[in-house]
Amino acid sequence: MRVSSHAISTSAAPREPTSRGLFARGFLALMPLWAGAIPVGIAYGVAARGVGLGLVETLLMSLTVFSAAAQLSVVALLGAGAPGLVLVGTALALNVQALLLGLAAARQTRPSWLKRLAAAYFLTDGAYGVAVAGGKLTLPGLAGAGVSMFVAWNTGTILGAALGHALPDPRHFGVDFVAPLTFLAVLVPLVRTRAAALTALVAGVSALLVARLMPGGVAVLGAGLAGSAAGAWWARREQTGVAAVPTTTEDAR
Amino acid sequence: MNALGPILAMAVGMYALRITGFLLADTAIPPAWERALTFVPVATLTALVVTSLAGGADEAPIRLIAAAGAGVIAQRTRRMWACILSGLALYWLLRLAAARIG
Repeated sequence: MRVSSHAISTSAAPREPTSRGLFARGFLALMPLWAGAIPVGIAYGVAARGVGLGLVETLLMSLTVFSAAAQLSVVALLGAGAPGLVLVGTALALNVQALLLGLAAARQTRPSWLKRLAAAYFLTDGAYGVAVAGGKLTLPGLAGAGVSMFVAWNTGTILGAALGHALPDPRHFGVDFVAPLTFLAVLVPLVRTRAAALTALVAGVSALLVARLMPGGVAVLGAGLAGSAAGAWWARREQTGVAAVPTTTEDAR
Repeated sequence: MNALGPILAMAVGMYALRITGFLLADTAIPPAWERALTFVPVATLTALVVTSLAGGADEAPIRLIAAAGAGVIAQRTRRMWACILSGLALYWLLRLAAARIG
């Protein structure tokens, strides 16, 4: 959980953690998000069966599409009798931010091709958000977090599709509030510089504005682009500026 | 209902979205973009906090206050569990208080 201490200290850790260790750390770090993922998975399973999807189709969608926003929208559209092309277009439009996250992740880790192909399958916002803890993203860590979400999402789907309304909805107790708290716990230690603070400010405002107009991943993508552009602009300004600001080196990491 | 076709098309499309960024990572990009990519984690996390907070519209003030408190704890302790548990505790306390008053 406390990846930051490992990432920063150089004297305490004589050797790099193994891939398996990083994978396990990523898997565990995402587990708080299970509190939200399993109930939403159950809700998806119930809704999918409710609009007439078969058991196999319901489970297959969670195994292959693996996106809460996309699958819940698709089920709603199916219920409204939308054509297949609209379903596919909506699902993909809700996940355009995956392009940016994949680029940022691979740019930082430069993994082998086989590892890229495998890690990409499990790439989600939540996994990326948890895996950047401590500012040091690793591919095994990202994959571990992704697989962790995959397990929770598909467990929820199976429960919802099989047991349906027999289950109580834990969201009444506000378990979905764990998600923002988890992301916050990763975010706060990363905001160490003025450039990072400006990034967060611009991204937060952008996310609020875009989310009013368009759902899901579009807000994450818009905020990601606007925020990182603002942060890069500020870092550049500090580098070329009059006074040398001591925090600048940290921005370049 | 036979939705197998659209499901498989979505699966292929989703994987294409997920893999494209990974495949483009070796191409040369301008230094300005390179610099911008280092800020993607902070920007994305902020967006995730904001969009997942907005979930409970009817209890938005409670969630905002609890998240702010948890943010302070995260800043002080730098521990994920401390942030999550303190935020949840504050949230449930505020919910109880709001139920008493309301």
